[in-house]
Amino acid sequence: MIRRPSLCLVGFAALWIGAGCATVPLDSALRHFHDGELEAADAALNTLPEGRDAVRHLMERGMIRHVRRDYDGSAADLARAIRLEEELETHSVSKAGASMLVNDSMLSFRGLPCERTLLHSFQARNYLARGQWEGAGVEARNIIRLQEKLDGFADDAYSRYLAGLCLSLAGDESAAAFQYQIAASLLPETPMDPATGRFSPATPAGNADPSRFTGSELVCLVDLSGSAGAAGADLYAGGRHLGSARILTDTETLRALHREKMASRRMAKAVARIAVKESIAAVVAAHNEDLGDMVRFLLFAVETPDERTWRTLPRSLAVARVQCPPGLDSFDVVFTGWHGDRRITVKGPFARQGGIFVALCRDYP
Amino acid sequence: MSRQSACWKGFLALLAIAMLGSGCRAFRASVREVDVATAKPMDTGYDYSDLRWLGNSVGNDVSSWKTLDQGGRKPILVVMGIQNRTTRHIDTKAITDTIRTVVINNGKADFVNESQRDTLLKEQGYQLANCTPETRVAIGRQLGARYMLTGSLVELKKEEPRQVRVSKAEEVFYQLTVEITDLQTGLIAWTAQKERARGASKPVIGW
Repeated sequence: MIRRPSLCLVGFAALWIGAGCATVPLDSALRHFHDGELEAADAALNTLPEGRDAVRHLMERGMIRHVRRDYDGSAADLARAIRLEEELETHSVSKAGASMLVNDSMLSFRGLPCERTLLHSFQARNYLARGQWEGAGVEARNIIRLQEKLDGFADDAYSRYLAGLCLSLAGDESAAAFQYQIAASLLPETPMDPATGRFSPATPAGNADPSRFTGSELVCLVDLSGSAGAAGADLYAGGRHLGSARILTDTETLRALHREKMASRRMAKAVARIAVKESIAAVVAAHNEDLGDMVRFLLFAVETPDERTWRTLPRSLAVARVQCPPGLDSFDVVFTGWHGDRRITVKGPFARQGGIFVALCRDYP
Repeated sequence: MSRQSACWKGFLALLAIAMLGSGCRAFRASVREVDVATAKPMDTGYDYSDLRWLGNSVGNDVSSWKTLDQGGRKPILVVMGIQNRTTRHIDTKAITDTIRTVVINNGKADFVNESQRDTLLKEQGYQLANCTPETRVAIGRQLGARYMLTGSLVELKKEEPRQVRVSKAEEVFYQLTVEITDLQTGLIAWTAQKERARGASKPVIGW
């Protein structure tokens, strides 16, 4: 009888440790990332753990490498994250059982449905940055596949727009137009031409009228990370204002909508889990009241919400689509926000398909 | 207590006998030769059996195209790529490699060397994937080819609707369209479509 309580306590201690965050390298990487130390952030995730947090680590390192412009490394990480996430479509009975005893962080991290779509969006960007249009087209079809089986979850205008851009660059104009059309319907306040994806002017100082596009075009995918405080971005070349970036998706709002949709399911599970924990504690307490109290304390101490999320995802995803000055080898992006304006220079060479140049930038500390 | 302990010992002994009896085969790494002609697919994904079937059947169809028989004089073809329009990153060059191998082995046509083609494309500031149809025709003519082989691979997927279930079924359909363009007239001189569908189900619940 003495051995059983000891075994129980050892078991619960193991569960407690297991339920806690074994994410020291990830925390360190995120700290470096938000301090602007990209190499240190990448190095902190040099060795990735297997198991239930593997997808999250790959998403974070994939994003760190994307911001570092290591597009090959980022593509490899995101491809692995996509493959592992697809394998998680098969529900694990053992992990589900553990999650009923501890908390939802015992389940493998898959990300919210919108994060799974954005995984393909950022993978598409890795292909765009390298001028691999066919690969970008493959990812665009994956974005569409996921968006078409959302089952009531909110659609993502940025991913739709990006899918349109990728398909257009891969030579599938009619499929591209359909995606632009969906993006336009999701963003009634952002007028755009559904046939080409070009934005109409919002202000007198805004983008050029689409009808006046005659030469080459510059499409700049602008990420606004919430931490840097930028709320908008303007593009300049040779002292001339080329146009403004349009925010197509606020990732925090999108994630909040997806969490809200999942809330009822999670609530039902939490209620069931609490009932299971209370039953276990009651059974133990029937044999030994003190031990029952101890078990109850331990079981409810690990009753914490699963707050795992893709932390390096930018706050806002924007697109600037402007007329490209001839011989463009660099341009400036001025981020406007609460902390004042900040200017960065984006240097070429830029990926080019026909008359469309593609560039990526992020307001980064 | 002693009865319980005897039960445990018996169970462990049975387990040990079962493991020894099976030679612990399940716990060992193993390697075996697979016959590529009869190998069964593991899932609905595009695999080497699709590559072989699509490449060989199109290659044989091209070889039996009457226009290629020009009284002992073999026409020159240039491969300008098959566009991947699926949701998977498929190496479509492997399909054209198979088609080319079959046609050459059947003695029906000669092909422009692909490194020569890529050099010319690079000189003119293009990659094969970035070329417009007009550029492909122009490059093909400059390479001295009479015909140009292009195509696309399309995938359509059908999944079971959401419902209470223990396994999830899906069907994937692949369609390969290959076209041969006469570079003198700019018209499509020959085309073929090959279709392949596969269904599979995977468990929704696992260990």
